Amino acid sequence: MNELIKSENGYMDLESPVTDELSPYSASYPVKLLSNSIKLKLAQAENIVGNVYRELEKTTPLVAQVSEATKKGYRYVVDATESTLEAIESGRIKLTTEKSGKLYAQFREANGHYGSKLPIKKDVFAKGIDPIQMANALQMKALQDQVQQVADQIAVIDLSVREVIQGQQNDRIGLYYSGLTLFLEARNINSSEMKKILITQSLRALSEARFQLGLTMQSDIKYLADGKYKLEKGKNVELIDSRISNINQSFAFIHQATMLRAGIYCNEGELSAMSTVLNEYSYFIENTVAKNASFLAQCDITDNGTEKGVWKSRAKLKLDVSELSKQLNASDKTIYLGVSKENE
Amino acid sequence: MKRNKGCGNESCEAHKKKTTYKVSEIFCSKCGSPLVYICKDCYTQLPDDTEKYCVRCLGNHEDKKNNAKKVAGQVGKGALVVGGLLITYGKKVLSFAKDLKG
Repeated sequence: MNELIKSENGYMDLESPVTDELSPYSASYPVKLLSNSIKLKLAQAENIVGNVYRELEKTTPLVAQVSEATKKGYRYVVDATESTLEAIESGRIKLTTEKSGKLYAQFREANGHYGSKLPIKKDVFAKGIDPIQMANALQMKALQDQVQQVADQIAVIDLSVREVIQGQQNDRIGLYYSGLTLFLEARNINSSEMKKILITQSLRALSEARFQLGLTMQSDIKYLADGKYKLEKGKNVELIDSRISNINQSFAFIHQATMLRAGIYCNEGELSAMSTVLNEYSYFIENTVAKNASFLAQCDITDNGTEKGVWKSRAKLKLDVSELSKQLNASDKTIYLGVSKENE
Repeated sequence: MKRNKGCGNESCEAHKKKTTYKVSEIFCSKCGSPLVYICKDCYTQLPDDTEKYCVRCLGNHEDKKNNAKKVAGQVGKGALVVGGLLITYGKKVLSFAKDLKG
């Protein structure tokens, strides 16, 4: 099943190369944006690890090996006085990123507790590797498998919504296209300030589209579940079909808006925000789709109610982003380092 | 109300041919998968045995009933109209016929 999905929806296969530009108005564009952004972040993570290693080999030939540092495959240097470093014979150093974004190192003392925080020196590396960027990149790399799992699940839904998208119009869908257009314009703007403003507006439009469509969808599901279509004699099937069509349309654009928001955040390097968006989507699937999947399958003429049917396969999307979110949102990003005797 | 069971395995021949089974049967005779309750009309899988039809097919049956009632109502009205016309004009028709004969 996964291999089939990958071949049918190659955009979410993170091992495939970055795809060329599609038309932004193509139904595949949002998931392609998300996929490419993730692939680029993973590639950057790979490069950063490589760069750190190369820099350290050049500047600090004498490095005390600590088993964790060896496993992680990188080394780093703390801005401490030589006497502090000399005083440390061996042991572990914890690298902490605070919410403010500053990076500190703490040494483990004899009593097993970590001592005072020491600021990390950014300009140790000749090529200007940002330590926060490094911490994020390494984390991204470590989470690669989880990210691929999320991508695989998204691919299942994405295939089923594409056909619904074509030619649909209403004001909420207009909000989605407004968000998409603003993002595309932002990409072509030179002024960084204006770019930020446009991206913010784009995210807002997409968020509004997503939640308005979500409410519409819930309202339509309630209409069917309450049997209100029975009030009009002789038109039950017509009313059921009409509402199901609306529900499918709403779901398709909710999916698109979510993927686009996640893609924009990932593109901007905001991985925590991306995981928040995916988490929210997973919650929506669980509470709106999964709860009503059996019922909706009975109402939908295109669904036969089996596990591979439209609604039950959508219900299975439990984007297991909880672990991903926890790690990305943790204020402490711990990286174990080796001790270097040369800090300049 | 009599329920139907069917094979929930989409790749099974019994599912493709929409083969129905008795409620007492548990496994598909073709593929061995557990049987599920299905809609009598369209073979859509049902969550339990409370209904014989899926929501849509049930709606379809209701529509047919209601439409049949409407038609019956129309026919009834039509019969009344014809009957009324006969009563109204019936005597004249009879006397005209008598004149013609006479």
